Amino acid sequence: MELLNRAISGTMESSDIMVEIIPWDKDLEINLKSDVKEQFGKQITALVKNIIDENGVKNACINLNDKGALDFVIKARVKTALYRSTKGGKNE
Amino acid sequence: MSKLRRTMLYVPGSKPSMIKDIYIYKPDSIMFDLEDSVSLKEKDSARFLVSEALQNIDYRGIETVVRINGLDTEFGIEDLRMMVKAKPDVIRLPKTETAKDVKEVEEIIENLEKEYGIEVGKTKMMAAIESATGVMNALEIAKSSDRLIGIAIGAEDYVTNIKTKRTPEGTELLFARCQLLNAARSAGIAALDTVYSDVENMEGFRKEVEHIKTLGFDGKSIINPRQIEIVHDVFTPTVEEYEDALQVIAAIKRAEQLGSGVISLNGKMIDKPIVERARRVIELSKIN
Amino acid sequence: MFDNFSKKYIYTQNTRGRKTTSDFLKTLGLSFDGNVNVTINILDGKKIIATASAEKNLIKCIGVDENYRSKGLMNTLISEIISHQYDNNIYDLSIITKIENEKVIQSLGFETICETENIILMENNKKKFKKYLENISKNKVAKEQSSAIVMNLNPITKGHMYLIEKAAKESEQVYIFIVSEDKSKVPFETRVKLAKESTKFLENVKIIEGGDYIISSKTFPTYFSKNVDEWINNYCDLDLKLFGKYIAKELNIRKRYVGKEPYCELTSFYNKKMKEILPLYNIQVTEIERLEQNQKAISASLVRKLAEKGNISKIKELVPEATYKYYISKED
Repeated sequence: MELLNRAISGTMESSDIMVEIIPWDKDLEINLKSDVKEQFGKQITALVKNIIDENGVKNACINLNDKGALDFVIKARVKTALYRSTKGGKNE
Repeated sequence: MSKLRRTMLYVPGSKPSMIKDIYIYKPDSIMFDLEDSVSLKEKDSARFLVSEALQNIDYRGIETVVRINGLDTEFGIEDLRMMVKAKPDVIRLPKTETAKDVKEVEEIIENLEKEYGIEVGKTKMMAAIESATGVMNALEIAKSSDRLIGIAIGAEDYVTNIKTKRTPEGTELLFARCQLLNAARSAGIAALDTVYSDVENMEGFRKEVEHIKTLGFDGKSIINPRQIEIVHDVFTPTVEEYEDALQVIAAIKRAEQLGSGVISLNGKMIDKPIVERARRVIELSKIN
Repeated sequence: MFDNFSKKYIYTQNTRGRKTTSDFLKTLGLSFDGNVNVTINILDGKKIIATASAEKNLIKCIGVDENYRSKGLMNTLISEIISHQYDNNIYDLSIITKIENEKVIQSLGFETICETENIILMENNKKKFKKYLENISKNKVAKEQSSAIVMNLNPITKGHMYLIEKAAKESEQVYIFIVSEDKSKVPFETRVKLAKESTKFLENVKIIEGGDYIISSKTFPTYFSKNVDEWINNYCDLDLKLFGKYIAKELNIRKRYVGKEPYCELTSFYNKKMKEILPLYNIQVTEIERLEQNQKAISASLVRKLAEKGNISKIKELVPEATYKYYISKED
């Protein structure tokens, strides 16, 4: 998948996660901000990395601000951000 | 017994906090909305959320319905692509006006089922009728497809279309409701009533539920869990109805024992519709 | 969870929407800044229960009804603004808000840049302010102590030159910060060019672009609306602390020159605050009488008025040559 633009998805409301994808020329970097970072940080990051890898994205900075999102929400938000990034970063 | 559809609880497809917990309230059906309750900006994200929810959450027997955007919008096709893949029980069309509207969507669903290796015919459909034209075409719509499990009336848009306002008495909806109901019965499918938006007015809500039950509707759309209990209560048979039903069942048993092909109760013949109704009453009573 | 709240977007043309927003903010002891280009309101039925606005990359005028405090509305609002600005390719955002909101805003990915008695400036790009200070320090000329003047130079006049030359005479090095905000009639690039031309002959004067943190909309949101209101005090504190505590340090600035302000109420209030606050950071404030011509202080606004009327010849005696040449060329 070829990323075109910065894109953002999700919100910082309870049970949600805000996902920001910034294409860059460095390796994949995932930054997680979460109240449950200690208990679930690894899990969340792995889940996100999985989806990013599956979509063949290698050079991006992913910023996550988690407010207690379940896995299905994380998946949805990451996929949405990827989708928006390839569409030009906007919801057209 | 045919599927209970007394309550169809609306959830905006854009809200993770609502989607994740919705099954707790135990409605008969859950309707994930991609249409009117989702802002333009979030049409895409709602699609992904609902898709992931359907594929990852066990809804424990609750019927899953997705309301897509119309094919006449820029979102409809993409909605169908992702939703058929996610396998909800039913796809609900908004603003249906003709049988052709239904058939167009049906064709796309069939192609998608083939593409995704899903058993053809598995994805059911529902049509929401929200205009005068739709109401006048209710019968052809109701008969337009084998996949159609029910038709519903969308009062807000309908009432605007016929140039009036909603009232507590609901006189302005009488024709549409009756037309829809008869069309549904003629086609052998479910008839569902519209949303009641004043969630603080429980008394007014109950009145409306009783009204549509009398008309013959199978159920109603719900926008707040507090409304569920009332609908289920209204649709629960009375003690009297239950006892009458028991009598009918007893009469059936007697006829069987006597090897008679004719069932009679209190000197009257009991035919198939009455038997079916009695069985349904007993099932409904058992649920509560 | 099944709250029936709705969101409403209000843009600049929607005067009624902005009025109701302003009324709502008043009930919270806050004021609406007319410079914002987008406002997002959350409503319960018809009633506004929360609001936030943005002027490009600055989020402000944030308020939540007391009765709805536990509903996470701040999270909703800020998420919505971030997403909206993203669609407009604005990614680095700043927030000016009351100190009590600090923790909540921190959880939304923002970091505190500068704190005053009542308000804080927070940003979601942690590197931005650091980079800004680095760029400022690149202008450093190796001298023990230097002076600074912050000016709009819209356009540069003989009055400005008088102040600049006085500072240059009394200091080893002078840095002139030109306010970057382009709300001025003369475009920023031109103001810089004219300033550099006019001060070419002064060896120890350097022109610097003020950037985002010097009397720009960010640090002084109501400056350009010229109305003194309750928040002016807060904004002055913020702007002066940013200058005194962080920016001045990069260039060893120990003195700030300012012209006496006879006309503008806001500017003279600001100057007064400057004299209170900057000394706390070891910066001396020197106020100079304005250069007069015909018993009237030479002001840039007078020059602009004359230019508007086409009175170019009258301008000649009020401005340095570069500025005069600029207006002549504009005539053609």
